[in-house]
This record gives sequence, structure tokens and C-alpha cells, in this order.
Amino acid sequence: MPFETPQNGGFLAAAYIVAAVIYVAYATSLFLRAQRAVRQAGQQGSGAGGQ
Amino acid sequence: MTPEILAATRIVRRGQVLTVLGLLAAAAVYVIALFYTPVEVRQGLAQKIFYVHAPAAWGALVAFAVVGIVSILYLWLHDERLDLFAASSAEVGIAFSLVMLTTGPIWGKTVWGTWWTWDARLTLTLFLFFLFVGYLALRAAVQDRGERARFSAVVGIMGLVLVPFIHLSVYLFRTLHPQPVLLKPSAPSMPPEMLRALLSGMAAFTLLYIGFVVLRYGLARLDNLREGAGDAL
Repeated sequence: MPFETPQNGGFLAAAYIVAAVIYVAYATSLFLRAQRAVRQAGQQGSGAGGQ
Repeated sequence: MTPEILAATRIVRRGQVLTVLGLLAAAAVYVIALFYTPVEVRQGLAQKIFYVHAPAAWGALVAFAVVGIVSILYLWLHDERLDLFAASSAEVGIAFSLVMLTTGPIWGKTVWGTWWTWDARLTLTLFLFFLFVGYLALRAAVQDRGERARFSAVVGIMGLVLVPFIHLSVYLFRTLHPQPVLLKPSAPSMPPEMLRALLSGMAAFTLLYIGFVVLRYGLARLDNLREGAGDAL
């Protein structure tokens, strides 16, 4: 009986999608947190400068 | 703005640039892996999970090793920036671990016929993941900055001890997990196209790790400045 390469492309797609979702979600979380932190630091800095 | 805030903001900006570059490099690795590597005859397309799984494992182990090394430096030098850097690397390591611990079972199901097996490599990796989840929980629970840094440095060093043990576990125990194809004493054991894709993946995800950790560190510095005596991470 000839050897057949398994048809498992669905597993490949699942793994690549899961990995991409985790990386992009984490990057988005960092960008949003950084945006907020920079804004708050700017307000704090301008507040301190006015004192 | 104070010089400290300006310096931390610059770190955040650099981290953002590096993260975007890292994500673009990772996307390029996806393209290389999907379209420019051969299909392995016995495993089929699922073998290509390797190009995402192995770099994620590499990123996670590097991140956790960095936590341990920087924690040792913190206990020696008592520089708060080292503590913040270690905590940043721990959080990034957890993100990489999540990729490793999800893509691994998906690949395992196709090759081993099971999602999970309690062998040495897999079990130790899971323990390492939980150890660093505990590390972040500990940081969130302890209010005093000095105590938090000291306690978490000790946990980080425990993690560092586990890292080489995990790498060597495939030699020390009978395990389903394959032995290293790259980080081993002899030459890499894979076709050149696969090796190039793997090395590209290692480089791209190392860049992504650096981007994440620099961005997270800048963020931690800003939080630290803003909150004063409050929590930074």
C-alpha cells in the first residue's frame, strides 16, 4: 500500500492563527497601555512644570 | 516634563518601533514557512507548525533566563531599573509561553495522536509557565517596592535554574518530545530550506522579544514615575 502524506492543513492553520492572535493581542495591549502612560506622564509633567 | 519622564518616553517609542519591526519580521516568517519550505512527507503540512513553535519556545526560554540573570544583578546592585526590566521580561516570556503551549499540543495531536502527555519536557515547561504566572501574581500582591523586588528576584532565579534543565530534559528522560535540531553539540540535522526558515524565525522572534521587552520596560518606568511609591507592574 503506498504511503500517503497526511492531510492536516487545518492543524497548521489553527496553530498559525492562534500564535498570530496571541502576539498581536499582546502588542496591542502594550501599545494601548503605553499610549495611556505617555499621556498621563505628559499631564503630570505639565502639572509639575506649572507649580 | 522631567528628564526621567522624557527618558522613559523615549524607551517606549523605541520599543514601539522595534515591536512593529518584530511583527513585520514575524509576518515574513509566516510567508517563508508557508510558501518557501518543503512539505515534510511523513508529517504533512502540520510539520510547518515547527517554524512558529520552536521560535516561541526560544523566546520564552530566553525571556525567563533574562529574568533570572537580571534578578541576580538586582540582588547584587539593588538598582530598581533591573527589577523593572526583569518583571518586563517575565511578562513577555508568558506571552511567548502561551504560544509555545498552544501550538505544541496542536502539532502533538497530529504527530503523537494526543494533545498532551505528561512527559518531562512538557511538564517542566508547564511548571515554568506557572512559576512565572506566580511571579507576576507575587509582584501584584506585595506593596512594598523593596520587598517586592527582592521576593520576585528569588522566584526569577528559581526559574533560571529550570531553563537549562528543560533544555536537557530530552536527554535526561525518556520523552516523546524530539531532541533539539539546532542547539546541540553536533551540526543542525535538517534540510537547508527548513534550516533557513527556522533561523529566520529565531531572528524574527528574537527581534519581537526585544521590541516587547523594551516597550514593556519603558511602560514600567513611566508607571513607576507616575505612581511614586505605588505599584509599577
